[in-house]
Amino acid sequence: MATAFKKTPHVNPLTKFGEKSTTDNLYWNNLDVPITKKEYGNITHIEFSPVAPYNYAVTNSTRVQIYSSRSNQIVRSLNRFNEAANCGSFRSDGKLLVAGSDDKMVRLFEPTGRSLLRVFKGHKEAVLVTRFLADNKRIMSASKDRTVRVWDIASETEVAHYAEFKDYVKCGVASQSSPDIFLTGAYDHTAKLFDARTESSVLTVDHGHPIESVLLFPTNGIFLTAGSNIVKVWDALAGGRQLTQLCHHHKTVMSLCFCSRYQRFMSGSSDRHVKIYDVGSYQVVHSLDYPANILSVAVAPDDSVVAVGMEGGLLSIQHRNKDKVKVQETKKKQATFHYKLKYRHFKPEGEDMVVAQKRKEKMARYDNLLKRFEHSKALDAAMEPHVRSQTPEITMGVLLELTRRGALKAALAGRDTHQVQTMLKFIQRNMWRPNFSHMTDLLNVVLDLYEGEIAGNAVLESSVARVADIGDCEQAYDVELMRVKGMLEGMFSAREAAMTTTDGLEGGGGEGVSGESLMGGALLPSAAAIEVT
Amino acid sequence: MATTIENHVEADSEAVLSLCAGSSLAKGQIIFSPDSKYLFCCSGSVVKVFNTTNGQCAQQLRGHRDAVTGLAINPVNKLQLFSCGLDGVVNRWDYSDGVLLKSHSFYMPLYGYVSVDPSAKFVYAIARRPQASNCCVVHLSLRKSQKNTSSKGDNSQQTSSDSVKTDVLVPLCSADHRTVTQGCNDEYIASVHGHELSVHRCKKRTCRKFTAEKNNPFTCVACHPTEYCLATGHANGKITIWWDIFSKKNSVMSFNHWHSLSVQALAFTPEGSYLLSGGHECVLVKWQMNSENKDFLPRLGTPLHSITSSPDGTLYVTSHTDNVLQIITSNFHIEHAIRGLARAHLGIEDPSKPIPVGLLCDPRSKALVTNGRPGHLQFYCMNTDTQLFNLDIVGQNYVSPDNLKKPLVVTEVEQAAFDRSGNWLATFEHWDDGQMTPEYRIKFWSYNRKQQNYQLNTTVESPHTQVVGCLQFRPQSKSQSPHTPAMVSTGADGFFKLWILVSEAQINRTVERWTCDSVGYYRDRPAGMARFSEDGSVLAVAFQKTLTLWEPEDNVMKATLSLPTCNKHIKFVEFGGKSCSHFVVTTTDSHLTVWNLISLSVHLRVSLSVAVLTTDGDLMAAVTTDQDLFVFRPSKWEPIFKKEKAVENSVISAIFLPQTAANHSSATQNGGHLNWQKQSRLYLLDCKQQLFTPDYLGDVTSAQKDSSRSGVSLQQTLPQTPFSTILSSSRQGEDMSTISVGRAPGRQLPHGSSSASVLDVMNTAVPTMEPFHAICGQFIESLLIRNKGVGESMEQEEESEEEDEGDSMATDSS
Repeated sequence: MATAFKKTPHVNPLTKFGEKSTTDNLYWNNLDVPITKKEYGNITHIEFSPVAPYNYAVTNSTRVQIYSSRSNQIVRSLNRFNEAANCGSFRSDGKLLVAGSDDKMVRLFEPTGRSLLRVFKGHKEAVLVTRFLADNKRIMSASKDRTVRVWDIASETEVAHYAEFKDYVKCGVASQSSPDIFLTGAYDHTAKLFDARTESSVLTVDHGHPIESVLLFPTNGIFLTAGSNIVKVWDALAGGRQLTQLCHHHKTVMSLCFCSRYQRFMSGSSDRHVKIYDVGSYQVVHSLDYPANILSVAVAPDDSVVAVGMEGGLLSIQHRNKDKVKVQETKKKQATFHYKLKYRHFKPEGEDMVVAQKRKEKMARYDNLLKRFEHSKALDAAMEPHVRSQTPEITMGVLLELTRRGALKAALAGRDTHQVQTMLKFIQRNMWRPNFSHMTDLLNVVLDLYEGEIAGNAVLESSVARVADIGDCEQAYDVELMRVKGMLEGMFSAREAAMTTTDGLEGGGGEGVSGESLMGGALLPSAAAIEVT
Repeated sequence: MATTIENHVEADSEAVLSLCAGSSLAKGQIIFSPDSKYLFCCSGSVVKVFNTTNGQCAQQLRGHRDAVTGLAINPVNKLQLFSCGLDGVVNRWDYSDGVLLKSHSFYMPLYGYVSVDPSAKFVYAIARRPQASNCCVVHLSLRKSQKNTSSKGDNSQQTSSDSVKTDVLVPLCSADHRTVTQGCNDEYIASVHGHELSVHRCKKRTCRKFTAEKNNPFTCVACHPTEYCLATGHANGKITIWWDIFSKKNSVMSFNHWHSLSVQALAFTPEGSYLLSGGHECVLVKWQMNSENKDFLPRLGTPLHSITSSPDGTLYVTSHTDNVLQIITSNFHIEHAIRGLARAHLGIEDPSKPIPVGLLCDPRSKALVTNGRPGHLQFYCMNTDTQLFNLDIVGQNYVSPDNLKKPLVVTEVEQAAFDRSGNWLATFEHWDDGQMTPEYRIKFWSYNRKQQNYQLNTTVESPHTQVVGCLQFRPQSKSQSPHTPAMVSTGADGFFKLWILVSEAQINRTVERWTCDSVGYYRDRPAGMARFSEDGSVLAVAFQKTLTLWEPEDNVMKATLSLPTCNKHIKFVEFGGKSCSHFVVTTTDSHLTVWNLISLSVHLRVSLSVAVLTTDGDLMAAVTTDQDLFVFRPSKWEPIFKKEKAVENSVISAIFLPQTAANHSSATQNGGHLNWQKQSRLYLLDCKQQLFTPDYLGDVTSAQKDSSRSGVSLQQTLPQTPFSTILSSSRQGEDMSTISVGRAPGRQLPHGSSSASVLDVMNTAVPTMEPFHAICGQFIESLLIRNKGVGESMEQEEESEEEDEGDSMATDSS
């Protein structure tokens, strides 16, 4: 074959209502069926080890369990706690693990062994937060006794002590870039940024609700606080200015975590949803559902595992699908291969020449028919119910190709009443689509061909009337749009005149972006939205 | 100073515009060498010899003064080739060495060979005799004219009258080599003309005539190689096979009808077991004789013009109307495609604008870019005179129409633009059949380094509500920080739009796409040509008689330039470059105006009806509607180069292409190169799609001689084997030059020259050969990448850059 037959291009339908399938959706939908585990008590904290193979520590009841991310089995269980454990977290090299406990002590473990390395005593109430600082030599802890303390690991002594909060300190994180900075949030609605070198906090923001979780970007510039059903974004460099607030949950947000190399973050809430946000736009890009109230969320650094801890000790583990496509292929082969070839497993050696088997590229039926110049049949194939209703862009593409070949009339001619009716219905349904401007041409051709038949047939007459109604509506929209555009243009030019005091240049000046979105409707999503409203 | 030397007007009389590309490969006869290793075809006044194994041009035979039309192998010496042309000359060549052996003049245009006598003393050729309106097949004696050619000059009148007496065999035929052929054993000649098929026996001088059906004239004819059997093609697509044409009774006919359009080409395979046919459907059909079987090779790209089968029957060559030859094996696998400058708009007669895109330069490969096959852009390398590749813009199948008189409207690329770095290409395609809603589409293509090709990035449907008149990328200024890539498009709907590149972060990658940034308009007038200034700081858009200047950053109009007395619309807008960057040149149907952008006033105004305007640096070239060529600097109207009636046909586009290193060195060697073409060379395209460039007459011929001499003998241009690469001693120096010069994308040209040394080694006796370990060392060394050499070439480049800067400094100061 000289050149392969080029497939008929689809006409971009542009607007689809309902849920849009973005790359984020595809990415997060590509997770396996969750593996659910039942633990003894509420899973209050999950944390992944920062180093491969990304094992994770699940804190529940009186133990911290370390799960393997490969086998989903417990590889180590640290249960040297007298009362409930809290906030089991890894050091940045993954070699040490620290956890607080309701028994007022902070314990330091080696995740590979069971041995208890250090015990830090000093808190007067249950310790809720324990974190390593970025220098890996110190630990910060926060407790129900409203204090935040910093401990030196080597000497097992307290090096700093802050008693600035008025209520339980619920959450905290250490900065990853600077060894002295850490952020804590408390039930007294405030979040405070501490510098271990100073005596008191360096920054305080008021969240307005008891804070359940905080998150600090690696650059220390921006941090997030979550309390009640609100997540707030703060700019630390601008002295704690609130950048935005996100209100996508309808119950308390319990946990925040980063994912996708700090390009996205997640919030888990007691409304059983996990929302994923884009850090650039702070828009929700995806949402995951779970069976129970979510208490803790964590994602492996390479996004390969999503672990969610829920009330009642439910732990959900989801792995990312990597070889989904491969699995399907092998299945297909098995189904169609009736008998095995004798030398199927023969492996070519050094001097053997491998002649690759040429696979015929599979083409859609309408393409095959177009290739053979069977235009009428190609139109039939493109007008099949599932094609025309689910993928009108294919039908439109075939119709355009027929037009280009000058074969549209011939392909449309000689149809019975039912087929003409389906054609009219197709036109009626798709006329509004901004990119399907050829629909009116198609309607003209149909009317030209079947003028006589439509006149006497009540069914066809009514369908033509319906198409005409749609056309009238579209026209009315257009008029309305032009009005809006006129108003906007007036406003823009008024603003421009106010802004620039330069002498009047002849003619019109440049227009703003929003003016354009109405004009070049093909491009911007906002334009498409206007087209329909 | 360099400028003072350049400023004087070049001696116009010496310079001519020489044809450099665009002559048709497909029109003339195409034949194979007897061993099927070489393919001969006519390309203008040159006979080109191609290697069938690698598709490379092995030899160019120059000597004709007009287009070559016919080719034949000398039956006495199979290494010799006869050629004939419209200049009435029959030449005999040794094609392996590229030497012209003998030349015979007949003083009447020859349109192709029919056959050569086995003794090589006579030829039958299609000719148009002096004062005759029709063509005929004449019997030319090569002996007679030998004497004539020896005594040239004064006797020319006599000889011409002599040759008129030549023997006419077929009194009436068409001037197309496909309509006349010779039958088996050289016994008869068959020709078709209109509705008449005539079969002439050469020795008996008898003639038998057949007529076709009404309204269904013959189009072509082919003779069976062994039997008294003919095949004729008809205008309605039918192929008639005439059996036993010399029998007393009515001859038997059989019909094959597959083609829906007229049959353009017919050929029998050497054994006569198959018949090949082709036509406008772009399908090669192989009919098995005496059976119903047929085989198809579909979608060959463009309509077929002629088919030739090789003497051993393993290869076929199809020639296509877009100037492409395809070498096809007998099992329908395309081996090679030999492409010339592709002709746009096949079948569609629109001589006013055959190439809407005009001429462009690909900044990466320095190739010439223009319309190629329908919906494609072709990249054409001027140095090697080959088409590099066709870029499919539209992505639609070429479908031949049901009726040739009503051609289908194809989606055609109407505008294209490259950005200066070659990273982006923008194209505008348009489809309008006058009945349906027209389609307009702008596509943005990004260059993919891995695949060495342009890939689609963004498609914009209906960017303007009417035809887009101009696309232009905003150049990056060297002094300021780089801005986001931007492009302007102007539409007949009165708007111009600025498009910018935006990047969108997605979950696992960032996606770049183009989006409309802003729109501008002026008094409801259609927007004409748009140009950015050299540093990208000013955008000029022509709105009928007014030129508007805009700031591209925030799209604010800065000034308007118009002459109250002038009511004609502005056709071309060009900014000056380098020392003339504060000038903008506009042309109307009657005047060329140079504006000074600093004072916003007219700098100078010349009465000149400009058809084409192009610019490069501070030089501008204007071609008037009378085909006068002016090269000037916008600062003052003193043409650096002037040539009246530069070309015969109207010029549709012009461009300056940067001189490559190889080109440049050869030019300096020859000495008298036109000074202003040092940096870049001017090319003009006329409406017959032929490319011209200004050159000295002596320059061209000497260069041609050089090339013909330097052309290595045919044996050595056989494809490279791994062994030939091993034993090459002469290779080392040449290799470096290809590394520094070879910037052209795509495949590396195989090295032919090394095989000479291989032969050398093979012919030496074993005992006298070098010890094997000595060769080994050399071989290993040849595989190494020599750092030192690369460094040297880099240094050279730097030096040349410095020189450039020095030049520009000099011009600035002056």
